[in-house]
Amino acid sequence: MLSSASATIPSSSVGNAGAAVTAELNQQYQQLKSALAKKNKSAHDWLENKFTNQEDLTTFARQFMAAVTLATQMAVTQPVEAQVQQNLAALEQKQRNNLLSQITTQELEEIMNKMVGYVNMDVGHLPKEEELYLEQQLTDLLGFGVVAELEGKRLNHSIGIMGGEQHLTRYPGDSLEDHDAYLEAGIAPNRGAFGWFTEEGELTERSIQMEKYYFAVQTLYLPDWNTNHQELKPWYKFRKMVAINPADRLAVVGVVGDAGPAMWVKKQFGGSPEIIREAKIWSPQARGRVILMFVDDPNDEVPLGVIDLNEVIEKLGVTENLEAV
Amino acid sequence: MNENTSEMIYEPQEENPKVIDFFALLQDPRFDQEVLEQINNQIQEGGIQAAAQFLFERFGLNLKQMSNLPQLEQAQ
Repeated sequence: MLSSASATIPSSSVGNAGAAVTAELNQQYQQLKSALAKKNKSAHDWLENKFTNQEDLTTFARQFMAAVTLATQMAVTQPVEAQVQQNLAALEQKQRNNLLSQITTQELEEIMNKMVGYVNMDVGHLPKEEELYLEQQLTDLLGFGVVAELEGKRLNHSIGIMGGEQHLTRYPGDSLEDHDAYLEAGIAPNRGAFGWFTEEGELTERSIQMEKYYFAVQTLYLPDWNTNHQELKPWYKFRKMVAINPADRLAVVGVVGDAGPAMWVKKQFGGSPEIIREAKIWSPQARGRVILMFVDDPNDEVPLGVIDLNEVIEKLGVTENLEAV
Repeated sequence: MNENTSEMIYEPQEENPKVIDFFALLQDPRFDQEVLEQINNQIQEGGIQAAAQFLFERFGLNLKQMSNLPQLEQAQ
């Protein structure tokens, strides 16, 4: 028992009403004190040893309870405040995302519509300002550099019509049957203008991909081709490019694998069977009209193949956020 | 009866329940010697605020439940 700090409430020290309260408090106190010895002997013993003075015990009890009250307020209010702050932050972020998605979607719709307009214009190049805008939009959307002019090199067209080409022989003795798909397209009798697709004489997975996704571009009509073809040919050989079919919201990354088409066919670009079919270049709405630009990929990181622009948009979260709006 | 007892009882009446509450709260065995010693030290060194911070860090959200003072009947 708390011998030195034990307490009773003398009812004589207060009035009748007060005496009743005091008696009740006294009773409670005595009961609690007895219970403490049984329920929490550790605390009971500590109090008994610590406080030999009643005043010190009372002071400690008050301070203890003040600390508990304060800590309880912290425990109750802090998480709520933190939660409110979190909710507010999340709400603000959502609003920002929604706003961003609205802008992005609007911009995307705008650029898609603009690209459809571009490809239906006369073949050639866009006015410089629009070209820069388009380059930036495509770069942002695709996540890699897209430019009409790279290292001072520019084709005669970045807007044009892409015709369907045949398969190309990848190595001496290659046959149509050795190609994976779209055999109905046939195979050109001669190798491509830039040579075999092999790497150090080997048909690698990469070289197979290159033939699958090759473009034919009119290097032969470049104004400086005849005078500078020794530099230009190796530069253009297997140069990575991207074709955009805005009508079907598809893009396809490939390499320059052949020269052509000839001027009289009234087409500015050619595409491998895979490119034409998988990127739906000749769908009723596309009718071969594409944008073709260089991929600025100095480390050869951009994979070849078709890119679904709608999937890109979804990955960017634009579509989901748009629905949330 | 210890003479010091009357000093505690003669505190202003609204203060008495706090002492009662203190003993009621200590029925929870989580307030053991170590905790009480720490709280006492915090009060001596940093005041009520420091003690409250210690209690909050020690018991967190449990403190709300712990300080839901047991009724006298439960304490008995």
